[in-house]
Amino acid sequence: MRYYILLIAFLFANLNLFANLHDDNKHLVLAGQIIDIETKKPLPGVRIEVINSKLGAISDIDGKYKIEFHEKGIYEIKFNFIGYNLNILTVNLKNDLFENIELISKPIQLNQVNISANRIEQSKEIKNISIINSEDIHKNLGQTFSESIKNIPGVSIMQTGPSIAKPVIRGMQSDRLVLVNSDVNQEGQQWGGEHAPEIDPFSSSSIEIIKGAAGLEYGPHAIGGVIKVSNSEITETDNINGNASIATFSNNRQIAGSLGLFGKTYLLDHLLWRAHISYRKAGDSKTPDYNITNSAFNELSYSGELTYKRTSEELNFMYSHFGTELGIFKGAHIHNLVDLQKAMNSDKPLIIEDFSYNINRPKQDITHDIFKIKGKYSTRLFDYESVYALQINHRQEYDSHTRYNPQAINFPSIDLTLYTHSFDLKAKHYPGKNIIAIIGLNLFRQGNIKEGNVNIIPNYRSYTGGAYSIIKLIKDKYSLETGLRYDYIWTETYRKINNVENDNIFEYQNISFSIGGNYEISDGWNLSSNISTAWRPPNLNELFSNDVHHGTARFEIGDIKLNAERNINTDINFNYNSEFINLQTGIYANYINNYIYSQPLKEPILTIRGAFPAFKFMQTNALISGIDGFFQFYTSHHHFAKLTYSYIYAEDLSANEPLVYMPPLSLSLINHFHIDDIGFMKDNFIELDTKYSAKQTRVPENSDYMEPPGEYFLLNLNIGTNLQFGNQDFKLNLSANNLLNRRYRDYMSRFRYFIDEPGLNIILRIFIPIN
Amino acid sequence: MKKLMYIIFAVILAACNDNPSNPNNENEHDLPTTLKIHIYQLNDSGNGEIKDSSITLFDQPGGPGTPITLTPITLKFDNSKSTFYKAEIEVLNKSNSSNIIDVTKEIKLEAEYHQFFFTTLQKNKALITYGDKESDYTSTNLNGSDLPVGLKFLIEVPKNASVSNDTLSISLSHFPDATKKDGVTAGNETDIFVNFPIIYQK
Repeated sequence: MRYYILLIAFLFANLNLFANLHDDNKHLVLAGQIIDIETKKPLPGVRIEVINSKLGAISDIDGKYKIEFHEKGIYEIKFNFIGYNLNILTVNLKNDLFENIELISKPIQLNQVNISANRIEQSKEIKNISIINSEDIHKNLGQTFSESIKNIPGVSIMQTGPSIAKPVIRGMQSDRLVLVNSDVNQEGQQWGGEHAPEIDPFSSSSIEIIKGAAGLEYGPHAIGGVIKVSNSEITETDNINGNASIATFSNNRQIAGSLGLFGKTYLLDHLLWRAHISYRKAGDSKTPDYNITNSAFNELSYSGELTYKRTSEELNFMYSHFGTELGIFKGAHIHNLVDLQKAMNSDKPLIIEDFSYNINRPKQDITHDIFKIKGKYSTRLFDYESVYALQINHRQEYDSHTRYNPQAINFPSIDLTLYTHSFDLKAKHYPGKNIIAIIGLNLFRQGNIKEGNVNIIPNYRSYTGGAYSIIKLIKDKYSLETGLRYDYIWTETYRKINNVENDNIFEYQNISFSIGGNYEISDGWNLSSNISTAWRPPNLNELFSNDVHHGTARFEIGDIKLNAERNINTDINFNYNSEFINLQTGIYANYINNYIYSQPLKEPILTIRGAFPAFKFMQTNALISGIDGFFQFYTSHHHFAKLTYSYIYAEDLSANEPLVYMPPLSLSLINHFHIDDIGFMKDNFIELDTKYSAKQTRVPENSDYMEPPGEYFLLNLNIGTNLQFGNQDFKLNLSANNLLNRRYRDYMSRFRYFIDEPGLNIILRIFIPIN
Repeated sequence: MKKLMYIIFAVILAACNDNPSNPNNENEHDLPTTLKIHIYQLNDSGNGEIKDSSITLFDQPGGPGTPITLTPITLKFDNSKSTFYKAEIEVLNKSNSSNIIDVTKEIKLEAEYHQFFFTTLQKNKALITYGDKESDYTSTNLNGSDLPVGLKFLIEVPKNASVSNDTLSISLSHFPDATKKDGVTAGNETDIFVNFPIIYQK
């Protein structure tokens, strides 16, 4: 409480200060925002110098800058930022002036914008943030959402066959990550290892990854990190703007396409619209030796938006739909231990059929609908933002076997509908040129309805209320950030056992806290560090699961007495940026008290269907630590090499043994060649990516059916160009994944017991900006 | 604008039929929970049953998670001649006590997609032969021949059997593709797998 009183007092004190400043007529103010011309993202840390004077400034975290002049006159102002072309602005200053600046990134980085974007954010951010912007998203168009972020150091994916991929950040996944999809915390059945995020990879123009605990703004659960997906801002232009793209894949004969457009409505000034549609259709994937039968999928997503937008206010309505039907490799749908052993002992899968686009059982059928209203209002010192969202997530899973029940033969065995209402309110205050204070409130109501007969998660109603406050201090050489959050969670579960109602109420409340700083040691050298603590209540599957998880033949048993997890995460990030070298290293240690995991039991569960290995959710104290980062070296303006690495050391501190399912050491070396323009072929590049994944040797004993698969090398090739005919661009991209058609299995794949990973995949992508 | 807000509000209300307080029954599963084997000793002529027929129950009363209960099968033998038994399998789903489903009926309907397989741990102690064919139930000749199903089978205990214990494994293979069923090879999808203890008695 004392904290808030102090904060409020502090805010008012600064308010007065600023007011006084402005009454002083002697000062003229030049202010504005600096953004990237391509991505429209604000650029923090831009050095602003007034030529022939000592005046200057550095843009803040939102790219905003302000310079105070003592007299009228003509000034030349230099905007200087690593990785960007120098911009010089000449102004004849008579009154206060508001001038927005757009910076153009240097050509070689245009093809690798995520690196330069990394550098921007990292140069001022305290947390370890990586940004993938539209350029890099284009490179992975048509692939799963998780596929498009797996090249970030510290990020890997957990796959269940070729159609399902989940992101893993520094060894943390599922319920320990928060996914923010255009301002809304995405709520689906994310606890499931084979439940991929319901996000259309085509609709996002930037993906931000915050590693480590970043729960303050995004609520509890963000114990391992946050993935923030956002669409580009709609700008008011006379023409219809947007883009179209098409991608084709040789391996699974996939075709994918998307069309996104925005423009004015002409009904009302400043009323803008946007519409988006995307579609993917894929057949069975192929390993070097055989088809992965029943790995086909269809995905259709669409969205529509209406925005009323003025400089200081914005009202936005959005509806989006995501729908997918995906087949699950049949040979992995295991009925009992005997079948499992039979399937694992076979070199080739027991079921191999000819290529097909058909989706048969087992399969998943998922839709996710979001309806959102967002309001923004800005004054000179405050930005207010509020978001209401309704999400309906509907997941149906069909077993390979039809149900032994004549009334339900064509019904799914898992059928869950999750309704989520959320309301977020955020106020951002700029009391002084170096300070940003944020106060926020999140309210949340959820209802889950279970049909089907698999007992993994029950019916429930849940309410969450949370409030947080963050203060950022941004100085020339250093910045500091600290924040505090409180959450209260109330959940009631509804079950019926032998026709008797059995309800339970769970209540959790706790705080999260974080403090960190960033220090610019010298030109180009940057050091940041962060300590935070967050918590996560046990998920309902961890409390109530009591059934066989098909596909892995595991009988999972929940424990109603589990406590919440609490972590303490510390990290140190080190950056160096110069004209020829970019370097980033993050070292972290994440200690989790009451870490929830599933422990194999000695005795299998016997049923009439056979024996099932049993797993029980238990708690321990765990340490997940590691190092990840990259080293990028420009040999010339035509070539750079980039080495990315990540290593995780995870230990169960109570049992003194490694934690299961942690990604092994991985390395990637990219050689990027930039080729000068040839006629109408601009921005040409050839990129060779060598990937190495070590064998995971740190696994607990007797916790797995099979030894982890061995190390592997992969080679990917990517060739790109931008064909310019007049004003029209056609961005072409030809890539070959697994160029050498290598046979390999990945430790993080849930199907590694049964099948190899897909072989050679040649992909052609065309991206056409429309304006 | 006001109208729009009303419409939006109505849509939200309509979409929110999310009352979770009336769940379905957790015990209900669409799985076989009970296996009954009715065993009848045959008389010397090989067709009539003798009076002391035995019925063995293999039940799983508490749903998944509860260990199954086993009753050993006792097979009597004679030192002078082979002893023959006739057995019939009955499969039930008793997960919902108010709605017991006879799974045997479904296996009969899908006779061409199912087959029971029998093996004993000890060799030459009990010989098992099939006592039925697909055409006894439902057959559209999908796999080209009239293959056994195994809902009925015969056990022969030879005269030289000694007093001992044995294990009878019974598994039910489900062939999603009926043409893959050949009458001899077990499939990759096992719907039932149980090991019965057998006691050979004089």
